[in-house]
Amino acid sequence: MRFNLILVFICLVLSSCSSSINEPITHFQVQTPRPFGYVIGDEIKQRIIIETRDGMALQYSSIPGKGEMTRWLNLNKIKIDKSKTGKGLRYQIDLTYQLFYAPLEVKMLEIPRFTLQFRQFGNSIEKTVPRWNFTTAPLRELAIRKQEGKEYMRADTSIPLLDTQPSINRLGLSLLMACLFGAYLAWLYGVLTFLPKYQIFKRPARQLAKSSQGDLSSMLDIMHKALNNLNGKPLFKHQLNSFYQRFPNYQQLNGELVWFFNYSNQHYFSTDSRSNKAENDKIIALCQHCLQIERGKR
Amino acid sequence: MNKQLSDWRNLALQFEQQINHTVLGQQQAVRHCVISVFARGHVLLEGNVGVGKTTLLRAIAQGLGGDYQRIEGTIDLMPADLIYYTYLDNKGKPQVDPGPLLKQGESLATFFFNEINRARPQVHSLLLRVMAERSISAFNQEYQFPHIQVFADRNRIEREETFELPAAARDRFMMEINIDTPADDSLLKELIFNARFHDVDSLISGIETGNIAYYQLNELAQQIQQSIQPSAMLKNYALDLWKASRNPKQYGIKLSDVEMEQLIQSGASPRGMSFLIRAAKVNAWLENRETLLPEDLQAVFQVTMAHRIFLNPIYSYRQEQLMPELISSILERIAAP
Repeated sequence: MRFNLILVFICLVLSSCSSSINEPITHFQVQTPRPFGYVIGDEIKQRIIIETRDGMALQYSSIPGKGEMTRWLNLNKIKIDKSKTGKGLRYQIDLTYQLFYAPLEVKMLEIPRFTLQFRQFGNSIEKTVPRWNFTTAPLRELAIRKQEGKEYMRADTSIPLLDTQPSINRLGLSLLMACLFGAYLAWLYGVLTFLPKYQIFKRPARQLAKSSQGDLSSMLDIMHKALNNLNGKPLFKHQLNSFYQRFPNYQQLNGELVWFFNYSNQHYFSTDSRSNKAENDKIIALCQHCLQIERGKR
Repeated sequence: MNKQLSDWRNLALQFEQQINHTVLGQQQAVRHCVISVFARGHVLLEGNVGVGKTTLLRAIAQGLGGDYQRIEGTIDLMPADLIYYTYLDNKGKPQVDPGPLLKQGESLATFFFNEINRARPQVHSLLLRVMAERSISAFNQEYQFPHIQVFADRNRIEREETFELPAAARDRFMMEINIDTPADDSLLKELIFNARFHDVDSLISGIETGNIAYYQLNELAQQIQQSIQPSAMLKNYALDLWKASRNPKQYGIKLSDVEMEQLIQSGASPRGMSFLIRAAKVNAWLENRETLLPEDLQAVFQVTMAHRIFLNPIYSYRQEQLMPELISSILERIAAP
């Protein structure tokens, strides 16, 4: 009697061990949401959890591909997580469907079944994910009832608009900053020629072009006044170096400016004063060169 | 420029170079002193003690040759002390000998009055005559000093027990030159550590004497003044400078925290302006030009004008700050043309 009991116990233990070791899929679960209350455009999420023995490889090709599954059902998203468990592998498959069925009345629909395939040592094992039924309803009743001339359908509530004020403020600020930077760059590159800073040699250049060649004193006066105006105080030949420190762009005209001051000194302060067309033209050219510099063209 | 003036100019530049070699870091002051020598104008030196004023004057006197006399201004100094001094000789008889002014006679070329503002106004008045007329009356006769050039010094630190020079006395000086300690560290180290600058006598003796003879300076100065003639435009410029120094507000000159119409008590005198032109001509000559330019006037404007412009008493305590501002504002405001 005692021997028989021990034998039965051993058989039971062996049978339980053999089933847990040999079973390729140890756990299979399909988690679905509520099966009712869906309308067109809703998303339905389905989670499949599978635990297998070690080495069982899920064939990803057996999972439905993204895209149109039926005329009214799309598979939008597939997410597969694979992890190790103590006994084997765990697969978690998240599928997100989207419904495009527009029923006229409450209607039952189904997500079709599909078969998952696993492979190990050249052997293939299949597991079917069962179809899942759910009901869908129309957004509104299609038949419009009229009672005493009143519309059964009511106007939709107005859609609350998104608050765009912060975006408009940011846009305005950005535009303002862009304008300021643009203005600064324009000022830096001498594009704003209407500013007084860029008008110093404009009028003198015009006056010199019109002045008669014989009137050397007035030509020199015009040019001296323009240079004094630029310098902010009277400019003399011996101050040219400090002038170039303040207005380095004019350094390139050093030769012409030195000539101009020598010519002016000779005319105004020496008894040996002469005027000829070629030299008068040099004054006009100097003024033009100064104009080009103040316009940033030189 | 004729050859004689050109040769003299080369000698003058050598003379300037030698002084600059003797007194370091005072190029501008030396240039002004050289201008005053060739413009035959008297000079008032102002500066701290020990900055090289006496060395500069001794260097000039050594370079020019001629006799050099020096007197210290003290509160008990009387005019007679400049003319004679009395003593008992070894036989016990009273003797009267010529003082510093008369001792060298006509060969007196450089007279240095140290700390002039310590002397009494009576002494100032005697000196004024010497400066203006280059002569004095003593012992019932006239003594002439045709080659004399007076350098007076006043230090700016001590003001107690001093007699400020009256306007008339200051106006007789062609220039007032400030002597400051050099700002360059390397020059200061040279002055401190180079033994050459420790013995002033040997330092001065290194200057050549006689290249420019003191007795020829009057004639040379006359030649310089005659050879350089200002143009009409330059005369207008000088006139504008003068008017601006008398009425700066009229020329749009503004100084901070100053009522411009109240600033000036008295502007530069016509004599001062003639000194300015004389000095400017010498500057043009030293720059090897026969043409007098505005920059020549600007080069000497500060030293010839600053001591002739008298500020209203309410601003005189800010004189050291306002005067340089006023001078530079005048120069920066007046255009030519």
